[in-house]
Amino acid sequence: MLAPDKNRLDYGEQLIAPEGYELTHAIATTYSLDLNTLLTVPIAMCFGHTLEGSVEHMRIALLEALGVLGDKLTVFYQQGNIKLPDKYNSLFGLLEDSLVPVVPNAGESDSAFSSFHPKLWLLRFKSPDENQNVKYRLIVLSRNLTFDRSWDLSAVINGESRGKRKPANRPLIDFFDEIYSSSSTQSFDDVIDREELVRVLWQRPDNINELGFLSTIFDDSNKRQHPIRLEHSNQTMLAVSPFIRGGGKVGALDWLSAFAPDLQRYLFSRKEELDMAGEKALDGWHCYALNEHLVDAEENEEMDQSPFVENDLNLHAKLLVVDETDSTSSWHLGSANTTQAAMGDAFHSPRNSEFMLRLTGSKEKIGVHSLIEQWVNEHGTGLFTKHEFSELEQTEDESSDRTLRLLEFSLIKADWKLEVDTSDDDEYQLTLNGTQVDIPPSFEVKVSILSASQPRTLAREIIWDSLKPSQISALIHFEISENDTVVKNLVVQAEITLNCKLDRGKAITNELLENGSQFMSYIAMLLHIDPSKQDLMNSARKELGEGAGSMFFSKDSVIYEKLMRAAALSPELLERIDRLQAQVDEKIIPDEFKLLWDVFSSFVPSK
Amino acid sequence: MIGWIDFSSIERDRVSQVLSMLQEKGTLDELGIGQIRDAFADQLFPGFSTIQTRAKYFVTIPYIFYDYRKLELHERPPLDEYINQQEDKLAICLVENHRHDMPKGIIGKDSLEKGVARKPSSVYWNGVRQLSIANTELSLREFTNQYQALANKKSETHVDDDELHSDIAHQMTKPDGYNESWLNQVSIDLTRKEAEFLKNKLQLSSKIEHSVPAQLFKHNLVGDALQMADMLTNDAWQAEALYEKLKDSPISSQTKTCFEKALQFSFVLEGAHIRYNILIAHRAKNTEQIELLSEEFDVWLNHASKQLTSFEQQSIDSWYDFAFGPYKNANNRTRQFIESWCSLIRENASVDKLSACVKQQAIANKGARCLLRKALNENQKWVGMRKLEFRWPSAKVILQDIQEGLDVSA
Repeated sequence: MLAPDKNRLDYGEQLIAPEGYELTHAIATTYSLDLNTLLTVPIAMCFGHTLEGSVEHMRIALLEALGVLGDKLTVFYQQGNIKLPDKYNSLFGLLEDSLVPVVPNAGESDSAFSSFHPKLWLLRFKSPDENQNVKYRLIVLSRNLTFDRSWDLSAVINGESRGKRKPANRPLIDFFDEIYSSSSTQSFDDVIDREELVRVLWQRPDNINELGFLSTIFDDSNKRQHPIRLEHSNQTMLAVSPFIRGGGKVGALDWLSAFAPDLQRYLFSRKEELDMAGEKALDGWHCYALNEHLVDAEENEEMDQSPFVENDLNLHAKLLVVDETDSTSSWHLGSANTTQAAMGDAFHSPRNSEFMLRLTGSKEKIGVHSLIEQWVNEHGTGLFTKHEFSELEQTEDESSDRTLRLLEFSLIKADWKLEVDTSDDDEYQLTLNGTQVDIPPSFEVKVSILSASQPRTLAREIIWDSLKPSQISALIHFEISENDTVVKNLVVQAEITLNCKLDRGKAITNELLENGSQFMSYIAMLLHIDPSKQDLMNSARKELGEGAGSMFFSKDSVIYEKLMRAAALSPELLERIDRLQAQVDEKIIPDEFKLLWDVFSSFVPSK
Repeated sequence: MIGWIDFSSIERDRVSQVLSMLQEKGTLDELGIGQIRDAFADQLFPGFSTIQTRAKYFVTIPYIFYDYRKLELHERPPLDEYINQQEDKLAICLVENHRHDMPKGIIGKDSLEKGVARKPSSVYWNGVRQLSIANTELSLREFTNQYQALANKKSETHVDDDELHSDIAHQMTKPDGYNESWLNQVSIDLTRKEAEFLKNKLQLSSKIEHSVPAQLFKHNLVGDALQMADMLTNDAWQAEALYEKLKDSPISSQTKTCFEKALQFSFVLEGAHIRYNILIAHRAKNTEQIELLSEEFDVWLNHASKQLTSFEQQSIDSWYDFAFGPYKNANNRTRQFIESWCSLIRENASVDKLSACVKQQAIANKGARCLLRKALNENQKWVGMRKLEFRWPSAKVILQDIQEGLDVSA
């Protein structure tokens, strides 16, 4: 299990519907969110392709995919934690309706020092054949919805809704219940039929004979529950966690020490994290660090670095393994680091929202030593190497960090409201109102609209004007500086109210389709009954002045044939083409196409 | 299914490559300028990379694709498996055929039993696309899937590609010099036909018209450039020597200007790297090194004061324009750092301010992994980049192979 070069999963493949099924709902949770990453997701969900290639080359395909995906997609993320994009993409505007920001909540503890941290996907698939069971897929990850390339783990389980209710599914439903009821305008029941989900029979992954769901949802006394379940008499323990400290201590590890004997505890973390915790605090653990050569390898080899991607290949996986008996071992895999915030300890409840999968199997296959064998070798060329402690420069100014964290929290928990009004002909203005936020001395906060910048100093009311319709967005960017140095960027989703008539989807479509050639490229893409990845990329060749548009009405054009085929085989495509024409500026539709459409429009089902 | 997650097959390939070089040491990028360095290299030497070893692999990849189509339909394994098998076999045949004169650069020669970890097809894939040997923008895995589907279509089963009429032949060019038994007699050296094929690809692919190799072939300067490179000492700045050789030659002005900008960028950032290493030497308490580097910095600063235009905002903008063009995104934080560094030099700021600027960027870039945070011992050597070569040393080896192939008697 978990051999670094063999046991690998492709993210895109996991998002593609099973053969003969269609995606009906996709619910994701993540701590941080990169909108460019989220933009690639529809490529898998709508076209069934994996996620290679740049979104830049697929703008028109994405426009279509996002239209198809519509309200099937919901992404819960920690408010403020959208990664500040290097360049605004107007397609982001089409994602906003799918986003639900969550303000972290620790109950009776200090919420400013808690995180909304679970990382998973729940996907529901339906077959057009009524006799087929509904399928579900649960993807539990240690990775956020970003282009991070760290060493992250994932478990994918597939299931079908059939037969009796399975009590073991209740914690999964309870987890989503809590998220929806605390942050969404909908309840989980509005989206997923719990009677269907509770009946799902999950297929167990190889070497696993039992699986369960654990999360930190609140108990009856408003305290978060531990996201792990351990017996007390384990033989051996192995913890994989990139982060282990909180308030200068390793509280969760101290607590975990009670569950396995001395000299039988192994800790796998990041080199710098182990050094910062220090040898003394980790006495009683065999410490290993992710191989430094791996972290720096791409840099060392001068491999291409994508601007979108984090190129730091450090450890980010979270896994807790115990050998319970001579024959059985259990795993906890998911979002929780071995920190007090995530797991709690003997005296404290956790503060974060976390989700873990609990798996049990044979010790021989999934036990502590079977993993160590996969990861460590005597030549020092394994995934991990035995850690030798070294002194680190203490640079962390804890009081300043604390102040910053409190300021961030007051910014994300404030009730930001944006109002949209017309200012001039086809120009709009946005007005931001929120609660008064106290800015500590030596700190400064600037706020701007993500789509159009225009930074302003934070005030009770802020107005941005001269905005294009495609720039109307609920995403605002707070730039926090300390002593004139930028220390943090937060992208917060405000509540947006339109005081005027505005169809944002239409505005964005119009911005992307500027001329007849691009319009025809879109049509061409739609008419490929199953577009290949190359077709999707070709649809966005506007900057090269190519694309199918200009070639469309030459004597060898196939458009007539394609439309005939669509009329016969996929009338819903004609419906899409009809809708598209209503969305775009009529001036960009070539006259030749209008003539042709006169013939075909009568085949549109709704007409 | 449980496993390590990859965003896509591109990342997965990179992980496989990385896992195969856990003992190799390279150059760290503490100040985060690797992205713009690579963007320049993509303009000057597109399709080349530092982990390519020999030119031969530019032809073995299309050979393997063509071999696949020669198989009877019912004999065909999935194409990606077939490529893996054949590349393992290729390593074995190369080692066998060169047993009396083991050359450099046979990929996988030390792990013949285990199979090749770093597959040539993935190491060279971008190059195969840039040279228009494969006419596609897809990743290797996506292309392989598409090619396999097409190859298994009835209409594509005839494999006569000399007319280049079929879709599939257009997607992956068959190099001249292919013969069915190429694998058994394979040598790492190019045959004349192969060398001519690659020369034509370099010279005629419109995508890379203004790359240095294309221009060298177009103006018959390859021999001169290689000869000049051979004469250099080990510590010479090879990219600069090449530019000096080419700046008065008839190569295109676009290539010249881009090359000039790249070297200017390299010089400007060299100062920042010297400052960074002075900080490292302080951290390692190595007074001798501090003195030595401080002298080197003074020399650099003296040069800098004679070309202050290189530090103007206009210069920085032009680097970004040349390196990234209008559609590629660049990291904003690095750009801000470069702008701060240049303005401090323009203002003749104190070395303390210069050091603070560099330190801030290193820590912002590397966080807790920054070397300035670690305990360093006294014999800590130079860290990171200095004079940038933009992949010329790797490209040189490939061009040398082509040049030697062209000299083989037909």
